[in-house]
Amino acid sequence: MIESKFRKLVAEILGVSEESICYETDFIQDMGIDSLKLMQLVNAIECKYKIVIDDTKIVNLTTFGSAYEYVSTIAPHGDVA
Amino acid sequence: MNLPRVFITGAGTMSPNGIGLTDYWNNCKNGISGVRKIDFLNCDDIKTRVAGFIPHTDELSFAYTQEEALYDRISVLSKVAADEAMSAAMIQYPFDNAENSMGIILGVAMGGIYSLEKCYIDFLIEKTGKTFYEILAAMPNCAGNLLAMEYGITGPNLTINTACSSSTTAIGLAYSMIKNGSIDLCITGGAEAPITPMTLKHLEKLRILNSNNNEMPEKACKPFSGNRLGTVLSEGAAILIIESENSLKGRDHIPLCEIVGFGMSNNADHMVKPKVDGFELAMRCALKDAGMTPDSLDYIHAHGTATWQNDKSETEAIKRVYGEKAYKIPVSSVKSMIGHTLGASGALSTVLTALSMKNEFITPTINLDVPDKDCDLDYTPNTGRSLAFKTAAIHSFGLGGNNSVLIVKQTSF
Repeated sequence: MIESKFRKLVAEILGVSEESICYETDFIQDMGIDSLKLMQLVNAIECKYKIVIDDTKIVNLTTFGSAYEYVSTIAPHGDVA
Repeated sequence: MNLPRVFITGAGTMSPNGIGLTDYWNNCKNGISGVRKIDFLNCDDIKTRVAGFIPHTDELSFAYTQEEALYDRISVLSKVAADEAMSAAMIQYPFDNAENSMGIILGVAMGGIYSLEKCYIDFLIEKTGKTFYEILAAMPNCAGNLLAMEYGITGPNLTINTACSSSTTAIGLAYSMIKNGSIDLCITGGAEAPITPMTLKHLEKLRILNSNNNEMPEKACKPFSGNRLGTVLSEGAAILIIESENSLKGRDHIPLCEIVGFGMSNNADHMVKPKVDGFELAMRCALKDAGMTPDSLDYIHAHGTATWQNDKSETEAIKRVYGEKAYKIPVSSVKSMIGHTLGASGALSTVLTALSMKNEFITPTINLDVPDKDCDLDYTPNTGRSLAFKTAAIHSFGLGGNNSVLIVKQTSF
């Protein structure tokens, strides 16, 4: 999975610049997004990479890095699909 | 000037765990769930495979006229429940000399969604051009308007949408209109028939539904439990006849209970996130309208959806309003047994509370298996119990921040 493409998707959904997202960026603490926006992001990732994200894992996906790593494990070739 | 007293004189219900009032009461009393595996929809693209639906029954097959497509399932459920309610209240119809003193106020959140989807599917995909009445059946006001035609009621006819609190709001508004003398009698309550692929999928996307109990549907909805994972989408209807003391005179009929208070608020904050302040405001407004202090409330029928935030927020609001007494007020959530019937949910809770009051027995919140430190009140866990109580609050907190609370009281009429 290509990190830059994942960052581009996240930036597009959250309405921020790609440059403002670093690996440690916390969606809620640093970017101030709410739970509804987070669900929208989860939905967009599922659609883009054709995956299903376990409901119980969402609570751990609060930073860009944690989200990228998790999605990479279940869709390692996501950008090629 | 004394304002009229308002009574619930009849009720009819269609619920995933009971066709008609007797079934509903008996099954709720015994903790019987009506949540089942969905066997009538193509769920290929949907994780959630459980819902609270009403299995087909003869009561749902009443004779259609040629305009049968006017009756979306929501209108069918409304009519069956309303017929039972009118009979229970001993009201004869149609009315030859219909007066403006009777009204119909129903709460509906999604409306005729099944008919709306039929229109879109035919227009965009199938392109047969066959749909015609469905656009009328889809209108949220259709159910209430069809009841007016059925019973010959020419008074005010309103459909209220405050999302999940719609029917509580409808009952509250009906109560207010009787109190201010606009009407003497009202057919009120709510209905919902939202189990369609589109609705299921989109509520699933919001992570509101529990998609993790597909193999044990009866365990899917776990209000206040530490392992709750979301609610269950359901259908149902509860219609109540409420009337003034004056309307009731001359009829040898004992009401179920009296409505004594109604409070509303909006969170003015977020479309989905619950807000404790908003819940608390609606609860305090209802108590104030009833002329009651918190220490005089005996029982709460909670909104209790089994979503993480609602149950936590509702518990905190109860503690804020009732203080230490919160730990002594028993709470129940019927959603544990029937799921979330959206627009019908408040009315189904109200009817169940009235029956609990009459029968001196409070129904259980089932599936309460794991403690949660943030939800530590007496939720009548898993088994109902005898309780003679005089006052009760019914909570409904809807998407969009719409909060409605009713207060009912045992009547000696």
